[in-house]
Amino acid sequence: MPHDRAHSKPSSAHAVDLAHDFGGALLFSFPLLMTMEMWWLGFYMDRYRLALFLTLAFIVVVALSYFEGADETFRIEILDALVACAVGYAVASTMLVLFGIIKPGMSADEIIGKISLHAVPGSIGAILARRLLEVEETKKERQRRKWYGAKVFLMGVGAIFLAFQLAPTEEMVLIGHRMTEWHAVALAILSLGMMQAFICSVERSGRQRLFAADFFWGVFLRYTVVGYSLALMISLYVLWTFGRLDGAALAEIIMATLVLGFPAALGAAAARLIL
Amino acid sequence: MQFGLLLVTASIAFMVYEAVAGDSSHPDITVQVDATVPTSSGFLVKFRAVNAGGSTVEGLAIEGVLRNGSDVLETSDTVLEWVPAHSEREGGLFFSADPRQYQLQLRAKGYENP
Repeated sequence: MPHDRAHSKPSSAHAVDLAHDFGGALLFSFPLLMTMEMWWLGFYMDRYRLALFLTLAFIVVVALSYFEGADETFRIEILDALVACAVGYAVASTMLVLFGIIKPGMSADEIIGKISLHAVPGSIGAILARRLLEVEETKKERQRRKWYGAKVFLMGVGAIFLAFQLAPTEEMVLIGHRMTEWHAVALAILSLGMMQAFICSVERSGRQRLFAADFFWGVFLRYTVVGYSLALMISLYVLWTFGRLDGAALAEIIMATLVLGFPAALGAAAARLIL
Repeated sequence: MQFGLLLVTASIAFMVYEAVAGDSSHPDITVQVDATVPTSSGFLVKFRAVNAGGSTVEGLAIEGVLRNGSDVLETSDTVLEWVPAHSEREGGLFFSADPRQYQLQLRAKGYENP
Protein backbone atom coordinates (compact mmCIF):
# COMPACT_ATOMS: atom_id res chain seq x y z
CA MET A 1 0.00 0.00 0.00
CA PRO A 2 2.70 2.60 0.84
CA HIS A 3 3.66 3.19 -2.81
CA ASP A 4 0.04 3.98 -3.69
CA ARG A 5 0.12 7.14 -1.66
CA ALA A 6 3.77 7.87 -2.25
CA HIS A 7 2.93 10.91 -4.34
CA SER A 8 1.26 12.69 -1.47
CA LYS A 9 3.00 11.56 1.72
CA PRO A 10 6.57 10.96 2.87
CA SER A 11 7.36 7.39 3.92
CA SER A 12 7.61 8.32 7.61
CA ALA A 13 3.91 9.23 7.47
CA HIS A 14 3.13 5.71 6.25
CA ALA A 15 5.02 4.24 9.16
CA VAL A 16 2.97 6.43 11.51
CA ASP A 17 -0.26 5.35 9.75
CA LEU A 18 0.68 1.71 10.14
CA ALA A 19 1.58 2.21 13.81
CA HIS A 20 -1.84 3.82 14.32
CA ASP A 21 -3.45 0.80 12.63
CA PHE A 22 -1.68 -1.61 14.94
CA GLY A 23 -2.51 0.50 18.01
CA GLY A 24 -6.18 0.67 17.04
CA ALA A 25 -6.36 -3.05 16.26
CA LEU A 26 -4.88 -3.95 19.65
CA LEU A 27 -7.02 -1.47 21.56
CA PHE A 28 -10.25 -2.67 19.97
CA SER A 29 -9.58 -6.40 19.90
CA PHE A 30 -7.92 -7.18 23.22
CA PRO A 31 -11.12 -7.51 25.31
CA LEU A 32 -12.29 -10.22 22.90
CA LEU A 33 -8.84 -11.80 22.65
CA MET A 34 -9.09 -12.32 26.40
CA THR A 35 -12.63 -13.77 26.34
CA MET A 36 -12.67 -17.56 26.44
CA GLU A 37 -16.04 -17.91 24.71
CA MET A 38 -14.47 -16.23 21.69
CA TRP A 39 -11.72 -18.86 21.50
CA TRP A 40 -14.32 -21.60 21.65
CA LEU A 41 -16.50 -19.95 19.02
CA GLY A 42 -13.46 -19.97 16.74
CA PHE A 43 -13.67 -23.75 16.49
CA TYR A 44 -17.27 -24.68 17.15
CA MET A 45 -19.38 -22.02 15.47
CA ASP A 46 -21.18 -22.98 12.27
CA ARG A 47 -18.86 -22.53 9.28
CA TYR A 48 -21.54 -20.98 7.01
CA ARG A 49 -22.31 -18.39 9.67
CA LEU A 50 -18.61 -17.66 10.15
CA ALA A 51 -18.08 -17.25 6.39
CA LEU A 52 -21.09 -14.90 6.21
CA PHE A 53 -19.86 -12.96 9.24
CA LEU A 54 -16.36 -12.53 7.76
CA THR A 55 -17.85 -11.32 4.46
CA LEU A 56 -20.14 -8.78 6.16
CA ALA A 57 -17.29 -7.64 8.40
CA PHE A 58 -15.14 -6.97 5.34
CA ILE A 59 -17.92 -4.90 3.76
CA VAL A 60 -18.22 -2.90 6.99
CA VAL A 61 -14.46 -2.27 7.05
CA VAL A 62 -14.51 -1.04 3.43
CA ALA A 63 -17.49 1.24 4.13
CA LEU A 64 -15.82 2.58 7.28
CA SER A 65 -12.69 3.25 5.29
CA TYR A 66 -14.81 5.28 2.87
CA PHE A 67 -16.56 7.35 5.54
CA GLU A 68 -13.56 7.72 7.81
CA GLY A 69 -10.88 8.09 5.19
CA ALA A 70 -9.51 11.37 4.00
CA ASP A 71 -8.36 9.97 0.69
CA GLU A 72 -9.71 11.02 -2.63
CA THR A 73 -10.47 7.89 -4.60
CA PHE A 74 -12.56 4.86 -3.76
CA ARG A 75 -9.71 2.62 -4.91
CA ILE A 76 -7.39 3.94 -2.19
CA GLU A 77 -10.13 3.49 0.41
CA ILE A 78 -10.34 -0.19 -0.52
CA LEU A 79 -6.56 -0.50 -0.30
CA ASP A 80 -6.71 1.09 3.16
CA ALA A 81 -9.39 -1.40 4.19
CA LEU A 82 -7.22 -4.29 3.02
CA VAL A 83 -4.26 -2.98 5.00
CA ALA A 84 -6.52 -2.74 8.06
CA CYS A 85 -7.58 -6.38 7.55
CA ALA A 86 -3.98 -7.53 7.23
CA VAL A 87 -3.20 -5.67 10.48
CA GLY A 88 -6.23 -7.32 12.14
CA TYR A 89 -5.00 -10.79 11.13
CA ALA A 90 -1.45 -10.00 12.24
CA VAL A 91 -2.58 -8.76 15.67
CA ALA A 92 -5.03 -11.66 16.19
CA SER A 93 -2.53 -14.38 15.28
CA THR A 94 0.32 -12.84 17.30
CA MET A 95 -1.78 -12.39 20.44
CA LEU A 96 -3.45 -15.82 20.22
CA VAL A 97 -0.03 -17.47 19.94
CA LEU A 98 1.34 -15.34 22.80
CA PHE A 99 -1.59 -16.27 25.05
CA GLY A 100 -1.09 -19.95 24.25
CA ILE A 101 -4.53 -20.24 22.67
CA ILE A 102 -3.10 -21.53 19.41
CA LYS A 103 -0.85 -24.52 19.92
CA PRO A 104 0.53 -27.48 18.03
CA GLY A 105 -1.92 -30.39 17.87
CA MET A 106 -4.78 -28.16 16.74
CA SER A 107 -6.35 -28.63 13.33
CA ALA A 108 -6.11 -26.04 10.56
CA ASP A 109 -9.85 -25.52 10.92
CA GLU A 110 -9.52 -24.60 14.59
CA ILE A 111 -6.53 -22.29 14.07
CA ILE A 112 -7.96 -20.49 11.03
CA GLY A 113 -11.36 -20.23 12.72
CA LYS A 114 -9.88 -18.61 15.82
CA ILE A 115 -7.64 -16.19 13.93
CA SER A 116 -10.20 -15.07 11.36
CA LEU A 117 -12.89 -14.49 14.01
CA HIS A 118 -10.52 -12.46 16.20
CA ALA A 119 -9.23 -10.53 13.18
CA VAL A 120 -12.66 -8.87 12.77
CA PRO A 121 -12.53 -6.51 15.80
CA GLY A 122 -8.85 -5.90 15.03
CA SER A 123 -9.61 -4.84 11.45
CA ILE A 124 -12.41 -2.53 12.56
CA GLY A 125 -10.11 -1.09 15.25
CA ALA A 126 -7.33 -0.54 12.72
CA ILE A 127 -9.58 1.43 10.39
CA LEU A 128 -11.09 3.46 13.25
CA ALA A 129 -7.65 4.31 14.61
CA ARG A 130 -7.07 6.67 11.66
CA ARG A 131 -10.03 8.70 12.76
CA LEU A 132 -9.50 8.50 16.50
CA LEU A 133 -5.76 9.08 16.58
CA GLU A 134 -5.46 11.61 13.77
CA VAL A 135 -7.35 14.76 14.55
CA GLU A 136 -7.44 16.23 11.07
CA GLU A 137 -10.73 15.91 9.26
CA THR A 138 -10.74 16.77 5.60
CA LYS A 139 -13.51 18.63 3.81
CA LYS A 140 -14.19 15.57 1.67
CA GLU A 141 -14.61 13.38 4.75
CA ARG A 142 -17.01 15.87 6.36
CA GLN A 143 -19.00 15.96 3.15
CA ARG A 144 -19.26 12.17 2.99
CA ARG A 145 -20.35 11.96 6.59
CA LYS A 146 -23.05 14.61 6.32
CA TRP A 147 -25.25 12.23 4.35
CA TYR A 148 -28.10 10.69 6.41
CA GLY A 149 -27.15 7.15 5.34
CA ALA A 150 -23.61 7.72 6.61
CA LYS A 151 -24.91 8.73 10.03
CA VAL A 152 -27.10 5.64 10.22
CA PHE A 153 -24.19 3.50 9.05
CA LEU A 154 -21.94 4.88 11.80
CA MET A 155 -24.65 4.11 14.37
CA GLY A 156 -24.73 0.56 13.01
CA VAL A 157 -20.96 0.24 13.38
CA GLY A 158 -21.14 1.36 17.01
CA ALA A 159 -23.93 -1.15 17.64
CA ILE A 160 -21.99 -3.99 15.96
CA PHE A 161 -18.93 -3.12 17.94
CA LEU A 162 -20.46 -3.24 21.43
CA ALA A 163 -22.82 -6.12 20.55
CA PHE A 164 -19.84 -8.09 19.29
CA GLN A 165 -17.98 -7.52 22.58
CA LEU A 166 -20.82 -8.97 24.65
CA ALA A 167 -22.69 -11.48 22.47
CA PRO A 168 -20.14 -14.30 22.86
CA THR A 169 -20.69 -14.42 26.62
CA GLU A 170 -23.30 -16.64 28.26
CA GLU A 171 -24.63 -13.72 30.27
CA MET A 172 -26.84 -12.34 27.47
CA VAL A 173 -29.13 -15.38 27.58
CA LEU A 174 -28.74 -15.70 31.36
CA ILE A 175 -29.83 -12.11 32.04
CA GLY A 176 -32.78 -12.69 29.70
CA HIS A 177 -33.89 -15.59 31.89
CA ARG A 178 -33.80 -13.46 35.02
CA MET A 179 -35.89 -10.63 33.60
CA THR A 180 -39.67 -10.44 33.50
CA GLU A 181 -41.61 -8.77 30.68
CA TRP A 182 -41.80 -5.61 32.77
CA HIS A 183 -38.05 -5.52 33.15
CA ALA A 184 -37.77 -5.88 29.37
CA VAL A 185 -40.13 -2.98 28.71
CA ALA A 186 -38.22 -0.80 31.19
CA LEU A 187 -34.92 -1.74 29.56
CA ALA A 188 -36.24 -0.85 26.10
CA ILE A 189 -37.45 2.54 27.36
CA LEU A 190 -34.12 3.19 29.06
CA SER A 191 -32.25 2.23 25.87
CA LEU A 192 -34.37 4.65 23.81
CA GLY A 193 -34.00 7.47 26.36
CA MET A 194 -30.25 7.03 26.51
CA MET A 195 -29.92 7.11 22.72
CA GLN A 196 -32.13 10.17 22.50
CA ALA A 197 -29.95 12.01 25.04
CA PHE A 198 -26.73 11.16 23.19
CA ILE A 199 -28.03 12.00 19.73
CA CYS A 200 -29.72 15.26 20.81
CA SER A 201 -26.38 16.48 22.12
CA VAL A 202 -24.68 15.59 18.82
CA GLU A 203 -27.38 16.97 16.50
CA ARG A 204 -27.77 20.25 18.40
CA SER A 205 -26.05 23.01 16.50
CA GLY A 206 -25.28 26.41 17.95
CA ARG A 207 -28.13 27.87 19.94
CA GLN A 208 -30.66 25.18 19.09
CA ARG A 209 -32.98 24.76 22.07
CA LEU A 210 -32.70 21.22 23.36
CA PHE A 211 -36.30 20.86 24.40
CA ALA A 212 -37.99 22.49 21.43
CA ALA A 213 -40.69 19.98 20.50
CA ASP A 214 -39.98 19.82 16.76
CA PHE A 215 -36.25 19.32 17.30
CA PHE A 216 -36.82 16.68 19.99
CA TRP A 217 -39.32 14.64 17.98
CA GLY A 218 -37.39 15.15 14.74
CA VAL A 219 -34.29 13.59 16.32
CA PHE A 220 -36.42 10.88 17.91
CA LEU A 221 -38.00 9.79 14.64
CA ARG A 222 -35.01 10.35 12.34
CA TYR A 223 -32.29 8.88 14.51
CA THR A 224 -33.31 7.35 17.84
CA VAL A 225 -36.04 5.03 16.58
CA VAL A 226 -34.03 4.11 13.47
CA GLY A 227 -30.87 3.58 15.53
CA TYR A 228 -32.61 1.46 18.15
CA SER A 229 -34.26 -0.80 15.60
CA LEU A 230 -30.90 -1.14 13.87
CA ALA A 231 -29.32 -2.02 17.24
CA LEU A 232 -31.97 -4.69 17.84
CA MET A 233 -31.54 -6.20 14.38
CA ILE A 234 -27.78 -6.27 14.80
CA SER A 235 -28.16 -7.87 18.23
CA LEU A 236 -30.39 -10.56 16.77
CA TYR A 237 -27.96 -11.19 13.92
CA VAL A 238 -24.89 -11.38 16.18
CA LEU A 239 -26.64 -13.70 18.66
CA TRP A 240 -27.69 -15.96 15.80
CA THR A 241 -24.17 -15.92 14.33
CA PHE A 242 -22.71 -17.10 17.62
CA GLY A 243 -25.35 -19.82 17.97
CA ARG A 244 -26.80 -18.28 21.12
CA LEU A 245 -30.36 -18.64 19.81
CA ASP A 246 -30.19 -22.25 18.60
CA GLY A 247 -33.06 -24.20 20.08
CA ALA A 248 -34.37 -21.18 22.01
CA ALA A 249 -38.05 -20.37 22.32
CA LEU A 250 -39.39 -17.15 20.79
CA ALA A 251 -39.74 -15.45 24.20
CA GLU A 252 -36.14 -16.32 25.02
CA ILE A 253 -34.94 -14.97 21.66
CA ILE A 254 -36.76 -11.67 22.20
CA MET A 255 -35.39 -11.31 25.72
CA ALA A 256 -31.79 -12.01 24.71
CA THR A 257 -32.13 -9.56 21.81
CA LEU A 258 -33.45 -6.83 24.10
CA VAL A 259 -30.67 -7.46 26.62
CA LEU A 260 -27.95 -7.25 23.97
CA GLY A 261 -29.87 -4.36 22.42
CA PHE A 262 -28.98 -2.22 25.43
CA PRO A 263 -25.19 -2.17 24.87
CA ALA A 264 -25.81 -2.12 21.10
CA ALA A 265 -27.96 1.01 21.50
CA LEU A 266 -25.30 2.58 23.70
CA GLY A 267 -22.70 1.79 21.04
CA ALA A 268 -24.91 3.23 18.29
CA ALA A 269 -25.49 6.47 20.18
CA ALA A 270 -21.91 6.85 21.32
CA ALA A 271 -20.66 6.19 17.79
CA ARG A 272 -22.23 9.47 16.66
CA LEU A 273 -20.28 11.24 19.38
CA ILE A 274 -16.94 9.45 18.94
CA LEU A 275 -16.62 8.43 15.30
CA MET B 1 -2.26 -4.66 0.73
CA GLN B 2 -2.27 -7.77 -1.49
CA PHE B 3 -1.58 -9.57 1.76
CA GLY B 4 -4.81 -8.29 3.31
CA LEU B 5 -6.82 -9.35 0.26
CA LEU B 6 -5.24 -12.78 0.38
CA LEU B 7 -6.00 -13.22 4.10
CA VAL B 8 -9.62 -12.09 3.85
CA THR B 9 -10.50 -14.11 0.75
CA ALA B 10 -8.54 -17.16 1.88
CA SER B 11 -10.21 -17.33 5.29
CA ILE B 12 -13.70 -16.82 3.84
CA ALA B 13 -13.02 -19.41 1.14
CA PHE B 14 -11.67 -21.84 3.73
CA MET B 15 -14.78 -21.47 5.91
CA VAL B 16 -17.10 -21.99 2.93
CA TYR B 17 -15.05 -25.03 1.94
CA GLU B 18 -15.30 -26.40 5.49
CA ALA B 19 -19.05 -25.77 5.47
CA VAL B 20 -19.66 -27.43 2.11
CA ALA B 21 -17.07 -30.17 1.85
CA GLY B 22 -15.77 -30.28 5.39
CA ASP B 23 -15.88 -33.36 7.57
CA SER B 24 -18.98 -33.41 9.79
CA SER B 25 -18.61 -37.01 10.94
CA HIS B 26 -19.34 -38.08 14.52
CA PRO B 27 -16.78 -37.46 17.24
CA ASP B 28 -14.22 -40.24 17.29
CA ILE B 29 -12.18 -40.09 20.50
CA THR B 30 -9.16 -42.17 21.37
CA VAL B 31 -7.39 -41.72 24.68
CA GLN B 32 -3.74 -42.66 24.83
CA VAL B 33 -1.27 -42.66 27.71
CA ASP B 34 1.66 -40.33 27.22
CA ALA B 35 3.58 -41.00 30.41
CA THR B 36 3.21 -42.39 33.92
CA VAL B 37 5.21 -40.54 36.57
CA PRO B 38 5.45 -40.88 40.36
CA THR B 39 4.19 -37.93 42.41
CA SER B 40 4.57 -37.21 46.14
CA SER B 41 1.21 -38.85 46.90
CA GLY B 42 1.01 -41.57 44.25
CA PHE B 43 1.18 -41.65 40.49
CA LEU B 44 0.19 -39.42 37.63
CA VAL B 45 -0.90 -40.75 34.26
CA LYS B 46 -0.58 -38.08 31.57
CA PHE B 47 -2.86 -38.73 28.64
CA ARG B 48 -3.86 -37.26 25.33
CA ALA B 49 -7.39 -37.39 23.91
CA VAL B 50 -7.43 -37.30 20.11
CA ASN B 51 -10.64 -36.49 18.28
CA ALA B 52 -10.35 -38.01 14.80
CA GLY B 53 -13.98 -37.18 13.99
CA GLY B 54 -15.33 -34.05 12.33
CA SER B 55 -17.44 -32.78 15.25
CA THR B 56 -16.32 -30.82 18.30
CA VAL B 57 -17.15 -32.20 21.75
CA GLU B 58 -17.67 -30.23 24.95
CA GLY B 59 -17.25 -31.57 28.49
CA LEU B 60 -15.64 -34.84 27.47
CA ALA B 61 -15.59 -37.23 30.46
CA ILE B 62 -12.45 -39.38 30.66
CA GLU B 63 -12.26 -42.40 32.94
CA GLY B 64 -9.24 -44.46 33.90
CA VAL B 65 -9.79 -47.90 35.46
CA LEU B 66 -6.92 -49.72 37.08
CA ARG B 67 -7.40 -53.51 37.23
CA ASN B 68 -5.54 -56.39 38.75
CA GLY B 69 -6.82 -59.28 36.69
CA SER B 70 -10.58 -59.00 37.03
CA ASP B 71 -10.52 -56.93 40.25
CA VAL B 72 -10.98 -53.17 39.95
CA LEU B 73 -8.34 -51.50 42.12
CA GLU B 74 -9.04 -47.86 41.45
CA THR B 75 -11.05 -45.55 39.23
CA SER B 76 -10.15 -41.94 38.43
CA ASP B 77 -11.92 -39.52 36.14
CA THR B 78 -11.69 -36.02 34.80
CA VAL B 79 -13.42 -33.78 32.26
CA LEU B 80 -11.77 -32.14 29.26
CA GLU B 81 -13.63 -28.91 28.59
CA TRP B 82 -13.28 -29.01 24.79
CA VAL B 83 -11.84 -31.32 22.18
CA PRO B 84 -12.41 -29.70 18.76
CA ALA B 85 -12.71 -31.74 15.56
CA HIS B 86 -9.41 -33.22 14.34
CA SER B 87 -7.62 -31.82 17.38
CA GLU B 88 -6.17 -33.16 20.57
CA ARG B 89 -6.13 -32.06 24.21
CA GLU B 90 -4.02 -33.25 27.12
CA GLY B 91 -4.87 -34.08 30.71
CA GLY B 92 -3.86 -36.21 33.66
CA LEU B 93 -5.33 -38.77 36.07
CA PHE B 94 -4.02 -39.49 39.58
CA PHE B 95 -3.78 -42.99 41.07
CA SER B 96 -2.44 -44.15 44.40
CA ALA B 97 -1.23 -47.53 43.11
CA ASP B 98 1.40 -47.70 40.39
CA PRO B 99 -0.48 -48.07 37.08
CA ARG B 100 2.58 -49.66 35.48
CA GLN B 101 2.22 -52.71 37.75
CA TYR B 102 -1.40 -53.39 36.73
CA GLN B 103 -3.70 -53.06 33.72
CA LEU B 104 -4.78 -49.49 33.06
CA GLN B 105 -7.67 -48.75 30.73
CA LEU B 106 -8.45 -45.19 29.64
CA ARG B 107 -11.63 -44.37 27.79
CA ALA B 108 -13.92 -41.48 26.88
CA LYS B 109 -17.31 -41.80 28.59
CA GLY B 110 -19.51 -39.08 27.19
CA TYR B 111 -19.78 -35.50 26.02
CA GLU B 112 -22.14 -32.62 25.29
CA ASN B 113 -22.79 -30.98 21.93
CA PRO B 114 -21.52 -27.40 21.99
